[in-house]
Amino acid sequence: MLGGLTKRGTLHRLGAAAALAFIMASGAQAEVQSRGDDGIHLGVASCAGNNCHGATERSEGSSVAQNEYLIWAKSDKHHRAYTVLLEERGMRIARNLGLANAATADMCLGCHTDLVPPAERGPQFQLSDGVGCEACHGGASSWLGIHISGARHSDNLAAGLYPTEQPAARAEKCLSCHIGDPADDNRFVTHRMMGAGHPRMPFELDTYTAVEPAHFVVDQRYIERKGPVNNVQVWAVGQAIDLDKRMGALLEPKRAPKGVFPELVLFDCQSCHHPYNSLRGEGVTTGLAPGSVKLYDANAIMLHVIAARLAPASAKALSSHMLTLQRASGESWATAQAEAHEIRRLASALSPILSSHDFTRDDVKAFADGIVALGLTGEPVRYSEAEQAAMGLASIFSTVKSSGNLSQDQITAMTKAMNGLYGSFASDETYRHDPFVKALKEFRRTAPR
Amino acid sequence: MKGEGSVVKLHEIAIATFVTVMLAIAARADPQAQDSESKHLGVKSCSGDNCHGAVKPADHSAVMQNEYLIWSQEADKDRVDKHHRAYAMLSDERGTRIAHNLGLPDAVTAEICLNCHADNVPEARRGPRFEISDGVGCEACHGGAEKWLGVHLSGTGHKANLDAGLYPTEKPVARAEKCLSCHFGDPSDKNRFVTHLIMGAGHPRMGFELDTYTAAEPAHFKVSPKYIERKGPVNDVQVWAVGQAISLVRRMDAILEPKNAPKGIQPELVLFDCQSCHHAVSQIRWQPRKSTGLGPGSLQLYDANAVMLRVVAACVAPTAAKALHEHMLALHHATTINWDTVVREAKEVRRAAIELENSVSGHDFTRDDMKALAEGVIAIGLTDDDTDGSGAEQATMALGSIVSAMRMSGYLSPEQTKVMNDALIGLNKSIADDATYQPATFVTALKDFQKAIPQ
Repeated sequence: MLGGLTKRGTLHRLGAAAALAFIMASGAQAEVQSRGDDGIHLGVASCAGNNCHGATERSEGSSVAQNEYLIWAKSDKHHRAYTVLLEERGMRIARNLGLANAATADMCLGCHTDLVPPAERGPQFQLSDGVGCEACHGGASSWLGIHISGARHSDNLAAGLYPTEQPAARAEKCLSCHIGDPADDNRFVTHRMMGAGHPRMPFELDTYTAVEPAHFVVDQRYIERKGPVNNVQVWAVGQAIDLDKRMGALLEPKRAPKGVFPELVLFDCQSCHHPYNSLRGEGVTTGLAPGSVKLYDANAIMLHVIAARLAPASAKALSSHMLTLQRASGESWATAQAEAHEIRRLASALSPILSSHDFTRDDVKAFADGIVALGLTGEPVRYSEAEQAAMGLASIFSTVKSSGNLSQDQITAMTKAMNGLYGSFASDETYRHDPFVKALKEFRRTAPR
Repeated sequence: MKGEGSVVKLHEIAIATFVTVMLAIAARADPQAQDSESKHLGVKSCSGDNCHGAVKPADHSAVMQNEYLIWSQEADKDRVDKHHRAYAMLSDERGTRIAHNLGLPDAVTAEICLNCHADNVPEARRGPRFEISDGVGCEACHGGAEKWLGVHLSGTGHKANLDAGLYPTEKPVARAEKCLSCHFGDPSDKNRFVTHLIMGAGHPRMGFELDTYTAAEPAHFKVSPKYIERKGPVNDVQVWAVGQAISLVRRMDAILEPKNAPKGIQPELVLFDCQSCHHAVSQIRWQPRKSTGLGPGSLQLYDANAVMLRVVAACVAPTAAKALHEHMLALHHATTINWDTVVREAKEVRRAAIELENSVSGHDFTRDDMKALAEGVIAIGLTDDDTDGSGAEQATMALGSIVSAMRMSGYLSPEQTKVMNDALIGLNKSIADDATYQPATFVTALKDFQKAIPQ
């Protein structure tokens, strides 16, 4: 059980291998703090000392693994977030957007670096570090002193360290780029940017924490200092905040329809982007007619599964507002916004409930059943749903696995089933409903009853 | 060189790959003739073995007489006239699925399907031998025969037939109107227009080019000396050019049709270029296009006809070409403003297209014109002006028509014909599959074609 997160990291790496290669390859964004209200950002170099977070092995008595810098520098896309701006794709996107250079454009740097104002950059700060330590953990000037002196975690937090261990705070931080801030033109990927070549941006808090790869280990000391970790909770809170933010984007005046189309990035990519020899939008899960463009709703579907167990009345309301929203999205932006407002209210009310809920074994089972049931209605499961469903099941598997109640055989069988699930939607081009449902049933078969 | 089926033959060879694709996905047809009163007597009244159902022509016959056999595929099982199967396919797997997705009990009783998949004239205008299940039969295109069958049988000449009400399918403008009445549809008629709703339910995309589709139907006529004597000469380039002008007029009609205006926040999506959205997320290939001026991530109106017509205009009426270009740019730009502006610009484009329709149908396309048109079509691709799937498709069909016209006019030796046909096959291959289409492959094929043009 201890060190479960490491195992879970491994699990994700194994189980999600197929998907990750795809997801990470297509998702080079990052989360940064550019609010400029968290003190001076001292730069990665101030954290990477070999006595601090740049060690190859843990020194005695250290409460962390100390190799955080090495993990980030070696395997983490955040590290390369600035560099990718100068690569072939980055340059092509910039050219298509009429920019001289992505590496000098705030609309790119806003998420591909720790873009704080020059006055808030310390002497060792380098924009080219990409999404470095302080992009997520906050500018260190106010807390580095006590942090180095071995203060308690709560003291670090009190001094200004960002509480990334808290699911809601982490979700806010990650999503500040992984969806972005729709009100900020330098921190929101529009359909124009997608059309210029920016990859699609899937996200799920727990899975993306694991595949970053996480540079923390949930061991006894972690739990003592930061509290226990429940992957299902991270997943659930992530879904609520994700939905909240998506509705926020619908409500943002900057993203209102211009010309004859609304901001298309709010919609489900595969709703349009499929070859027309593979029509898939024939399901009625959204209540929309064939040939309609559908808003991205995979988070809402997941949150509905969660709420159905923990807050049935909210689940019912969510479902009904989502249906109306989908319908309204083709009819009236004002109605769509009214619905988005209601959904946002529901999601933001669920977020604290989920943050404080003690997820039981029965809850986890109910979520697994709820997700699997999505594939068994006879209606086609859309790609975006399949993607969120698989990541949700991966979190559930992590939680079940860290409970220590699974035999090695069960772990092997479930890992194989997870691999199958990820494999079934590895590419949106070749994705088909039937293999996914088959993989879903296989997962159900291997899950402990 | 002239005559005896060479148009058909050439197209047959040259577009083999692609016709299979295009026909496989295009099953519509053109039923309702402009004969608003005549009875439709049914396919059986035409298919007698002394008439159009003969195995081989009788001596002195003005036509092949095997027209029925070609249409019904009895002449050549491998060459499918989809019009014949238009009704039957409503009940096959796809037809049933589309009907289901549209909430219809079945497709064979739904006007919205029958109006183009059969010769769906009102009950009162169906003769005793008329069968709706004949699909898009003779009279769907040639008009109800009640008034002209007598004259026609008595052999008094083509003009007398026309005067009695036979539809003049040999005239490019009339043929374009007829074919497009289903192959694009009538946007004002909710039962004769394939909307995005119907597409989303499973209806295939509708590619069309008048000259290529005439050949690929397959044509059940041969341009013989007798044909020319009775119906006048055929110039494939003219058929192509007229088809482009009228297609563009129809497309503008569809934009102007109030039913297609945005309901809520999205306009009728069928007006837009399919591949503008329907490409894989991994296949982002936006590049600036002089013809649209649109930025990345925008949906663009289908404009391949306008691009082709601009090439035609550059040859026939250069000032009109410039005006058309400017109006199209304004139309594309209007989609980033609002629908009222779109409508205003569509009216301008429509007017320009109608003017060009007149210039084009009266123009005598010379050998130099044909060369210039080929170079013009090629230039569009080589300057990246339009290498979208839809543009490549229209360019390929255009070059097929041009080669056909050159050959028919005796401008090509058999060797030259072969070289050009091979180049056309390369072009057709490069566009054969929408899902895997790559502009670079098309451009390479275009360069090969350019080399094949005799200097």
